[in-house]
Amino acid sequence: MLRRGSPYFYILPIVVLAGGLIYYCIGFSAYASLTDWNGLTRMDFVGVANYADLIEDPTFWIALRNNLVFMAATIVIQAVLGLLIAVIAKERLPGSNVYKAIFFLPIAMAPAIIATVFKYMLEANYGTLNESLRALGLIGPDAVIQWLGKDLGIWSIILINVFQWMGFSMMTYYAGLMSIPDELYEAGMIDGAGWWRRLVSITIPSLRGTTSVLVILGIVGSLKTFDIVWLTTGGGPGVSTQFLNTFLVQTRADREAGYASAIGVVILVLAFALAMLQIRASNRERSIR
Amino acid sequence: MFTTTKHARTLLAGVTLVAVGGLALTGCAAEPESSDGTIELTFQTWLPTQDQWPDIIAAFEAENPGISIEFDRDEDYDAYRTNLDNSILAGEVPDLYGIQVGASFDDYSEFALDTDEYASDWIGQVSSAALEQTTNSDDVVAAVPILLGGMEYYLYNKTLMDELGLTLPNNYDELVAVSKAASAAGYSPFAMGAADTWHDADFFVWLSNQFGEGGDIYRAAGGEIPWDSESLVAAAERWQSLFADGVFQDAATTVATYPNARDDYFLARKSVFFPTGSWHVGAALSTSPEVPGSAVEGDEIGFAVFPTVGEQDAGVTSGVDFALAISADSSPEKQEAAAKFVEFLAVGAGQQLWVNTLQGFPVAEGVTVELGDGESELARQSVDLTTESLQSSEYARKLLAPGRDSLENDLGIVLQNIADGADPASELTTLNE
Repeated sequence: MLRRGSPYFYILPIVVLAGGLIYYCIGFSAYASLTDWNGLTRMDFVGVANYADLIEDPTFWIALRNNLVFMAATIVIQAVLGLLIAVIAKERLPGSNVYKAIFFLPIAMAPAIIATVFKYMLEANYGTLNESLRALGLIGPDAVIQWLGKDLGIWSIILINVFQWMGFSMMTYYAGLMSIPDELYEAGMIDGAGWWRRLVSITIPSLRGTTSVLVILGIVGSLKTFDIVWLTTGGGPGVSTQFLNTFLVQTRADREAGYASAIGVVILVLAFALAMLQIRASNRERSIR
Repeated sequence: MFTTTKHARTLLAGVTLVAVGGLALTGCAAEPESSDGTIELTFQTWLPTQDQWPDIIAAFEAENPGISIEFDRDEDYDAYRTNLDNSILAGEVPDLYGIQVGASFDDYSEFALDTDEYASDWIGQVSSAALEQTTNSDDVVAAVPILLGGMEYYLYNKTLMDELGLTLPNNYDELVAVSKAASAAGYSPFAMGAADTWHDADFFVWLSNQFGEGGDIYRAAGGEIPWDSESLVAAAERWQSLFADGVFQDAATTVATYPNARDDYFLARKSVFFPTGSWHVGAALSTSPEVPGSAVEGDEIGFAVFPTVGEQDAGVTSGVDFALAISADSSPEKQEAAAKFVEFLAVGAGQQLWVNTLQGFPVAEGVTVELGDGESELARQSVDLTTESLQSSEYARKLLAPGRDSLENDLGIVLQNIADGADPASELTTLNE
């Protein structure tokens, strides 16, 4: 009896921990999303009223749009730049290890540090970027570009994220490149394929699995994005750079914990649905091949 | 069989370890116990600051040798509220906790001991206007006011103003003129931290009282009149013009009051003025911990009421910036000890000690700020002006909208949109929903 049950005992600690710390919290959030909980005292059942309010809340749609723009932009830019740098680094150029280390370095830095440094660089009046542009004569001496303002804020946040995570894409692709047999490239070269042709016809197709993993990580990562937004724009000005997670935190700070829970549940469902879509697309592609 | 038994033992050892660890952690979380008969109180708060606390606790412990206080401070009010919420939800309400008057006061007052039970002998010495603000919707005075604060004031660099030939503005036209002159000289004029919704909302509450008959904003918050009422739209248009006319620096909605507007603009000597609240008058004193080491060290700093920019002068807004509550869940011994600390801070030596730091202004009648002999005439004028303006204040700094805790943030967002060019009337209308 004990022998038959022993495997279950081995997984018991993680089941208890995951169940207690993750699934209980998810369940509680789902329940709280059906109440008007103020985070402290009142907690009356209101059915799906929070979800109905969410659909009519313009801030939710702005946050969702920002998340989707951020997701698409960061996944594509990080994949393209990461792949290019990985391919170049594989060529064993002089100093390629140094370049790899430089590109990988931002991953080792805390997002709070990167966000703070960028906030000072992108500051409109006295930030180093605008001061440099003025010194170079690229903008007028009194010109002020609001890098963290309502129009450019989302793109600056994307830039910061690319700076931090491009090195991760590069290293992942680099590891994938190492597993592609040299014979494939040799055969391509015998057939007269140039550098670009080999990249498009051999490297990229061989790295489909790696790309798929990076896309899934990108989807989940973008839905988790909070720190760099909170520490640079705080979701503002207005709600122009609000993301789903910053919207959730702000709502909770406004003592609308039931509403914040509904936002949390939507984020969870979105992450699950998008990851499933990507996995299904990836599987279909594999079965066609 | 042997393997299974060995595994079972390992499992048993693991479970025991977890259980012992859990018990140990539970022990860590338990209330601190006194070993020598001293009553140990927990105090969760965002004020006093870390610099102010040693003097306050030393004076209190000298008066009350049998009481010690475990001070648990968060850097800002939002972080503090999160931690206080967590403590309350965990069933560990601190013996003493700070509260700011505002929309969430009622929520926290539910866990507080009625002041009738411990302060009736001395609470008459506390300003009655302040006590009204710490009375909850059940007519219970749930916390004792300790410090008062108000808006809207500004710090100015007198030395820099003299260098640029500027004088203090008294009305809107002068405000625009002095701002343009500062900009022309290469400085930011008023370094407004408009990225903070709390500052936008506080400024607008102060500003809106200068339009119509005054006080319309409180009626709008209470649902009595719409937010797009004539006087509030006029105030919002003036708010917008403060940005469009260059009174506030470019991109002000991307700059936070603390630390950016203060440190990166005013203390970096890149702006001449810095709009803020009454609590910042201390920067004008020689004892200010902010100025040494900054670019304005050696400059003469002054503090003034923001000039009237509306139809009529409405004075500054004011309110209880810090109130202290005692947990209704604490033991009677702890409540008795906690009451001594509240009395000490509200009407005792602690009140005088704390207001002398200029963190806030006194709630106790008869207490005035005492300055050191070495203070300049400008510093004394700044403190006197702040004291007098707060004493004559007629309007509350914070909006009360029970059941709508998000109002301050919602209003701040609307004001940021208006500052960035959105139509004032349309934006204010969104607050009606």
